[in-house]
Amino acid sequence: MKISININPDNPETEISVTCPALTPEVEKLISMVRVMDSKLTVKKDGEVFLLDIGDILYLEAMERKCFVYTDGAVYESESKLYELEQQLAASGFFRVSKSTLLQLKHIKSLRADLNHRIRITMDNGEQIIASRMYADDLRERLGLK
Amino acid sequence: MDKNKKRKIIDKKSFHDFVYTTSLAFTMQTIVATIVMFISSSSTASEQSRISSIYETPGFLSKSTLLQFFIVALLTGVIRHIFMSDLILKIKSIALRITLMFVFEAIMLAVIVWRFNWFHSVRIGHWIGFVIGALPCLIVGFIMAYKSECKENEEMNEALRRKQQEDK
Repeated sequence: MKISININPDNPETEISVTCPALTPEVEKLISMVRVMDSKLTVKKDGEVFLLDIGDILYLEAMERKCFVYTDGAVYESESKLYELEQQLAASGFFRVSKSTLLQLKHIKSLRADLNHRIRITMDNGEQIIASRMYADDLRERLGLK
Repeated sequence: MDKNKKRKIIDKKSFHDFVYTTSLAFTMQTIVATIVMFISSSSTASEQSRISSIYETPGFLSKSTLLQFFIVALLTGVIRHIFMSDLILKIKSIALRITLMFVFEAIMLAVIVWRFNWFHSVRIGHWIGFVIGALPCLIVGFIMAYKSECKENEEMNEALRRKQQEDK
């Protein structure tokens, strides 16, 4: 794969163009990665609407029929349901670790085996999340340990 | 505001865990104690009453015996809850948690066996034998569990770093 970068101060915004002989799975993955970098999630906090960079989201949690979005320093609320967000964010490296939690793999700091075949996940901000027994196997599989 | 809600839910879960471990411990303890009592008790009622009158101990599954089982079950539940949840002690290693839990349960059972005179002919030599026999098993068990736990954590974190590098 050839990569060329043209730096032009006159360009108002960053533009990415892909030239390829066919739309192979690798190219599709590349495009989805670029899209993820550019994609935003609409969230609310104290009545204000924010466009949140997906890359900044550490994890999402459903609680009492509401969906909360956690970043390094703030908690937002999303109007969408957790399963809708799961589908929307699947290509961005988010996956389910319990019935009520989705998290982004790139923000995991460390993993630790816990009692009852669960996994204790420490996020970049130091928060700990438990991957339930049911989803711990999925996580192990995702990491290539099964 | 959201954190408070989260805390409330976690506390509710902890309470459920407590009820679960206590009731499980109670059931297990009652089954084990009943089997022990059944084996150690005499098959005939007259023999049973003779033993009771000699040692001045409660009869087979009397109210006070059941109360003793209940105390054991409750204490076991409390000990398990302390060591298996993060509510009071924050011990990272599972191997250490389980080892400490067994040590405390053994101490508790020893005190109860001695205090309630469950087995009539237990002498100091039995206790010394028990400790000498159990100690190496406990140490070897802990070392093995700790090693395998460290290995598993290491493998998981290596795989995580690999996956994170691939995704980059």
